[in-house]
Amino acid sequence: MRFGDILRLCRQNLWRRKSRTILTVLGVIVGCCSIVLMISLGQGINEQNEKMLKQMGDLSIITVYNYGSYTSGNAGGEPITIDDKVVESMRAIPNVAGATPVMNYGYTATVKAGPGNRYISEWVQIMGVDMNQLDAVGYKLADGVVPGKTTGTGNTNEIQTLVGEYFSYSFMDTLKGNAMRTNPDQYGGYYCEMDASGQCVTPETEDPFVNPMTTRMTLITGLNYNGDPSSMGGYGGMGGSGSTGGSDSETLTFDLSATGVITADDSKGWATNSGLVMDLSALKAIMAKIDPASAKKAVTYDTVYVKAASLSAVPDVESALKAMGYETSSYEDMRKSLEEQSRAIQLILGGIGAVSLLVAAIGIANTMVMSVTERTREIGIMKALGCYVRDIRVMFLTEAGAIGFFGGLIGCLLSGLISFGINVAGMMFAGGLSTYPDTAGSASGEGSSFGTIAWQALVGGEDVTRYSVIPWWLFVFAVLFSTLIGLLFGFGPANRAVKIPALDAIKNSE
Amino acid sequence: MKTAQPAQVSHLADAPASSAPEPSDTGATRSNRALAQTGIAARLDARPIIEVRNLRKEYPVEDETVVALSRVNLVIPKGQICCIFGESGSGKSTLLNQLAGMEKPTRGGVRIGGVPVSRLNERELAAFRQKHLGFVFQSYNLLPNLTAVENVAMPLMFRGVPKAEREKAARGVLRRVGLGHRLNHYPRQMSGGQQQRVGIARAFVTKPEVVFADEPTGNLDSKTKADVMAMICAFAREFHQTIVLVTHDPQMASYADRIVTLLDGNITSDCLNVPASSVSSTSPVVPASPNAPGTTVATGKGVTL
Repeated sequence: MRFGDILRLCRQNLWRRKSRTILTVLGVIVGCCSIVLMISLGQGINEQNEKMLKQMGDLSIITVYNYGSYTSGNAGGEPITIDDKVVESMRAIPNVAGATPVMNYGYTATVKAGPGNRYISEWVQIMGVDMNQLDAVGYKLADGVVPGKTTGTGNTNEIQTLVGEYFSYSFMDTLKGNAMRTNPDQYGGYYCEMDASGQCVTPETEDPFVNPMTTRMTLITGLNYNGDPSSMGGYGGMGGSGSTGGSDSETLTFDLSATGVITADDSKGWATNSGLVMDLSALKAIMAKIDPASAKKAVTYDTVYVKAASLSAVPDVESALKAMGYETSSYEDMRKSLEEQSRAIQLILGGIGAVSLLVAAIGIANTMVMSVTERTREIGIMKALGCYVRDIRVMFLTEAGAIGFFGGLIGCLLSGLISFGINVAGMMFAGGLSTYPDTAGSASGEGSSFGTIAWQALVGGEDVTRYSVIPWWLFVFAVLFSTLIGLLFGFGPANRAVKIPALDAIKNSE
Repeated sequence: MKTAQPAQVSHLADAPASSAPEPSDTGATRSNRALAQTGIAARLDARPIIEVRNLRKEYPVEDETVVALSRVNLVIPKGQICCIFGESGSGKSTLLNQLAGMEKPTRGGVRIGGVPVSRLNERELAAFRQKHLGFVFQSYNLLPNLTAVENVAMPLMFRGVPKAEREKAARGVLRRVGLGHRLNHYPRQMSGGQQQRVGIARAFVTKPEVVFADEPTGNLDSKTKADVMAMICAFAREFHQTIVLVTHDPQMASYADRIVTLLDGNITSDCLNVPASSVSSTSPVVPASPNAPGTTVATGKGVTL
């Protein structure tokens, strides 16, 4: 028998008992829908977790600490130190994309800018990293280039530096009572000010006082420097204990030239947010000038940032670093526990869906058993007329498979619609309550149009929370799985059908 | 499990009657003489198409065994319309089931065209039925959800004949049985006689060597009966096909060339018959029974029971 003929017969037979077929398919639709929606909710939780972790920073960064202590892992009993050699050996670990030692400037520093040094930024945090590793470790420049790539002015006192993304907002206007400009993005968006009625309002983004890229800045620091006296008033008591201002002899001034702006990433140092990021050599030069004695000692670092080549390589790299005897920290543990948690939720949800699909499968089996019983005589006739047993089996399996396939197909379409509805409803509801600013929406004003919401519900986006996420493979899987279930549960009845003897047809029973 | 030789299935036409029976000289001579006496030109192929050897069939019923066929020997030559006649319970339906390979015999065997049908497995039987056998049933046994054309085309569909081709053949046969105006009707829209004509068209559409007809007129009124029997016989004569007709109706038996009477699982009588229908027809057919013991020649409706 040709397969086309089998398909035609299958259609005719299914259509003969229209209501029964439709009800059975309906069962599969419900089962398929529930399993797809349940898994999609689990996927939604996954997506939300991932977004949350991404906001925390670079997940593939492992921070290596050294507190100069005798770590238990160190058999020799010598204090563990991190120097350039150690950093080099860390880079040699497989799957390490890059590693940079981190030096934090331990002295007070002030940056002044603008006409007459009108604008001042106090207690500037300065971080030294290996500029050659900047890309490898995953730092990104929002603007400009890496220091050393531009020719300076020739001024030997000039220091090239990168500025943190929001460094420009750290300046105060000394002529206007130390007023500051704000940018809520600096705090990851979670920033608000009390308005008159006591409500929390996210302020508008203002322009900073200075553009570090175009303004000449000076850095003032020293061994015992305690900050600029002009601003002390604003921070009453901070410069206390009798040392108002440092002695001039110990205060050094450097010209700062910003070559670029580094993108804020709190997982790689707060200085990327509102401090200065310099090359290690530049920072060492400053330190050598203000404290020549300590600079002569061998250079060791407290912290190293190691970037793993991929997220999946993080655990291996981290354990290799631990084996070297260092304390490490990464988001890996957190990510793992979140992942396990969401997997458990997915399993539970999927299990609930699977139960309803099982019920649907029993429905298929029931329908097929009924169908075989009803058609006993027909099957006998067909066998008497020379129909192969194989064809009869294929015929019944095709019917069962078709019920599963169409149930799965319609179930997928329906669950796609329901998932879309959940997301749209969730976004409209959550969007109305949350103070979470929509970075794209802030420009276009309050409330995105329905079209935008619908689009985001469908494909997701940077700043949207989807509760139900259906990846494309879930649709394919669901249709295949439903078909398979149909075939599986149709197998028993099909085997029953082939065992019907042709003799039944010959017997003269009406 | 008994194994069969599937190669034989496809060479049915050329298969030699390997276990051809030794014809009883006296019987053959006598029947030849009878033919000569009736003066009708012989059209029959002397080669046997169905051979039944020592066939026995028992059914277990609770603790006892019921013997449906005790020891049946029967040879049917090609082209003969053979009626198996008997009361209900005489074993005639059992014999038909054995002949068509629907059941396995307890002892003995059946060969059709040299192929041991009682020893074929299910798949070989299906292939054999597709190619060489046709069936006409008492209760028509049409598939209710298929039209007349689709029902008739069904045996060809099992062979894998494309839809257009097989339905063209089906329409041709249906027109021949006078149902040209009912091609796309469903069985429930047709009378019993029309349904049986669809059944006949289905049996003959594949041009099988042998057609088994089990009480084909059992559910019909007397006028329709005659039509249906005439139709079966006309097909058989035209394509030189062998018909095995099972009936308990003497009137129907009179259409056959030969009447084999069964009683309690034994053949009690086997006689030739000049069919009523062919007497008046322009191309009369001469019955022959080369290997039938106690063969007698009957004419018209003079049936020897």
